[in-house]
This record gives sequence, C-alpha cells and structure tokens, in this order.
Amino acid sequence: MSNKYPKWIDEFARAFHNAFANMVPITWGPVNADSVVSSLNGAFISKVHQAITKIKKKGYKIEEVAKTFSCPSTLRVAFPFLIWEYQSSEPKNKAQFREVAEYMVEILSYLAKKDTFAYESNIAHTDKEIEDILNKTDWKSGNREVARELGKLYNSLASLVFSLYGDFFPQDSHEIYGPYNVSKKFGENTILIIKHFPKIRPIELWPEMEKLKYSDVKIFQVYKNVQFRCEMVGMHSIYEGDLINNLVAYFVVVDGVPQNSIAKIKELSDYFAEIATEQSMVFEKLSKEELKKKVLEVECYQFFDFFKLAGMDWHPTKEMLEAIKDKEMADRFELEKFPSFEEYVKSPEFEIYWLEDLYK
Amino acid sequence: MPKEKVILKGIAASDGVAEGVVKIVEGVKDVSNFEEGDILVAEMTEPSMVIMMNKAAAIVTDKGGITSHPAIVSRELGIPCVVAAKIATKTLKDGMKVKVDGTKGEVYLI
Repeated sequence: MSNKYPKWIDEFARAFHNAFANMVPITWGPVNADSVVSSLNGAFISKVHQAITKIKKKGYKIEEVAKTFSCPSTLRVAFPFLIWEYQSSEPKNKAQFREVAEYMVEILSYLAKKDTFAYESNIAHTDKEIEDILNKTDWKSGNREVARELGKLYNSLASLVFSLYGDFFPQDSHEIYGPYNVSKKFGENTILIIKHFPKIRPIELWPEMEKLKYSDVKIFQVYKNVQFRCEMVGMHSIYEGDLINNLVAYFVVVDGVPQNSIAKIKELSDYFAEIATEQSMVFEKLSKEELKKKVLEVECYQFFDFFKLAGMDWHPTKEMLEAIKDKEMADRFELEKFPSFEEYVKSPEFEIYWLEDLYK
Repeated sequence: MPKEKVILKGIAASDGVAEGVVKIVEGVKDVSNFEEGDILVAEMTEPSMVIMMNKAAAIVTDKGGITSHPAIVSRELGIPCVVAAKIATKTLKDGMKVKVDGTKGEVYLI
C-alpha cells in the first residue's frame, strides 16, 4: 500500500479482514443492517459530524469525549457501518467523512491502549488500572463448579444483549477486555479477562426493560495456562486451553455490588436467561419496518452520551427515517464469502478503497 | 470395540468431547422438551435458546464460524461445539445418541 494515507488504515484493514474471515455474515439478521445504513445517503454521517463540530467548539478534551462510549468495540463496529454509509452516498462529502473518520479513530486510539482495532487483543486498561483491580479486588478462588456457573451467567447475559441489540450492534453492551498478564500476583502463565455488560437496561430503546433489576455486570476471571485472543471486537473471543479446570480466581460485580456466591451467580444466570427469552420474543415480533427503524435507533443509541455531550438529541433524524421508509431490504447480509486480503484492500466493494480515497 | 461412525463434520469450535441425546431446536418452543445433558442441534443458535444452551452437553449447528454466537458461548460454557456442519439438522434426528468431538469437529453415532 502507498504511504500517502495514515498508518491506521493499514491496521484497520488487517484487523477487519482477519475478523471477517472468521465470521459468517450471511447468518446476521433478521434484517440486513448494511442495507439499512447504506440507504441513509450520508444522513447519519451528517448527524455525527454535526456533533463533532459542536464538541470541538465546546473544547472538550478527548478523554472526556471517549467516556461517552460504553467500550472501545462500540467504535470498532460503528466505524465500518459509517464507512458503508459513506460508500453508498452520492454525492460523497469527502472532507466531512474524513473529519468523522479521523475523529472516531482519535477517540478509539485513546480508549485502546494498544492494538487499536483489536487484531488480537483488547487492551483498554493502563498498567496502573490493572494493578488497582488486582490489589483492590477481594478475589474468590476458582473451581470447576463456579467456572461452569460463570459460563452460564456469561451466556445468559450475552443472549440478553443479542435480544436487545440484535446482530447489529451487540458490542455496545458486551465487551471482553484482555488478556492482561497477572503473573506477578497469581503466578506463572496467568491472565486476567474482564467481561463487561454495560447498557443492559436500555429503556430508551425498549421500554419493556423498565422491569430489569440490573443495568451493569462485570465478571473478572483469572486463568492459568489459557491463551486468549479476540478479533476486532472483544466479544469475538477465542481461547486455547481449558476454561473450566483452569479458573484460578474470579469476582462478579452487579451494579457496583459484589455477587460471588454460587447460589447468587446461579440466581442471576437464571434471571437474565428468563429476561433474554422474553425479550427475544418481543424482538421476533417486530415487523420488517420496525426492524429497519430499530437498526437506526440502535446505531444512534451507541452515540447516546456523545450526542448528549454535543447538546443533541440521540434519536435518528427525520431524514434518516425517511431514507429507509418502505424500502425493500433483505433479511440477511448478502456476503457469502469474504475475499482474499489483496482483493479486499483494492476493491471498491469494501472499506479500504474508500478510506484510502479520502487522502487522494 | 467397533469403530464409531462419523456422521457429520464441521468446524471444531470448542474443545472437548460429550455424549448425549440429540434435540433439534428451532426456538423457545422446544424448551420444555430439552433436558440437562442433551445435545443442542440447530441451524444456528439464537438468544431465545439461552435456557437450553445452559443445559446442553454440546452444541452442533449447520452454520457459523469460530467467532459465531454458538462457538463463543460454548467456549465460555466449557462444552464441545461443532459449527458449519451444514446438514446437522437434516442428518440428526431427535432421540439419536451421539458423541460430539469439539476438538476434531466431528459427530459420531453411538
């Protein structure tokens, strides 16, 4: 690739291609979210750009802006959706999108302490933050039984998140951080993995969630002789090693309150599984028109606090809603097979061509 | 001992071996028939299957990749998983006894 454009485009290309090669987009549904955002003709990009302009004018520091996002993976996925919108928009406002892209990457670069686009890890805590977590947490010893129950709690929460955010943007409420080397505290070959489920009570999106008793869950787990990597988003986790027999320590926090007895973990797991089942049924009942609208609502909801910081309403604009109204869209992503890396970076069908074009 | 017969191959998505009775799952309607230790077989897992996934001894799906929903969740649950088996929901029938090898990505009739 040429050197005329910033290095992050190469990093993005490597991470995005690697992640997509292991995904099966044709299974994503029940509406093709790509088609939805591709119909917007720059309307959401304009809304984000307007917010950036206001935020810059107000003089907020990047660390204050970064706090408006629930986790780094939110931006890692929101960004390609913005690219897909740009790809399809005519005429293209190159200068506007370049500013949006650079600002998104600036925030993400602040949030991710290394490996900005999570090619293989999701490191968003400083060494000092990890040291504080290690020293201030009242760690509980791991064993097979609790490892199984934590797996179920994870599954229940992950399912709840999918029932709230669909296949479109689940990472806004489901992040996995790590691996952090914690050998100094827990012995050789130990890693810390942090599973965070923020925004599990999005009442603005789903008034039904008023009934949910909790809004935020964190599961801290220390493993020995387990390797962890992730692809582009933290929740695309891949482990090598036995998670059940190698759990050294754990700690669960629900809305800031430690919840570590096996009985409580089971109770939470059953509770979230039940709500996830109910919410799935609500989700499944949405009509196609409602689903299309929901894609836009969830896309905007990722920027909820960002728009708030800018003094703007978070909802999709009238223009966005008009752009998708009564437009026919497929149920699933229409990409059967992901291309080779060489083809991927050169083809105008994909993201990199358009990112490079911003600098021509 | 007779050699076990491989009846399905797919992508090895979560390590381990488990045996159990096949339950073809389409959605929440199947929850009352699903018992602890059953093998969950689906075209693709969905959030509505969460209660059954928490009870499953293994998961086999027609579709998916190593970062698809069934694969990610099975690794956390510590149960074997085979994804992209293509014809699992056609080849396997309710009540069949099978062994799922999530390390090799194979399903055997036992």
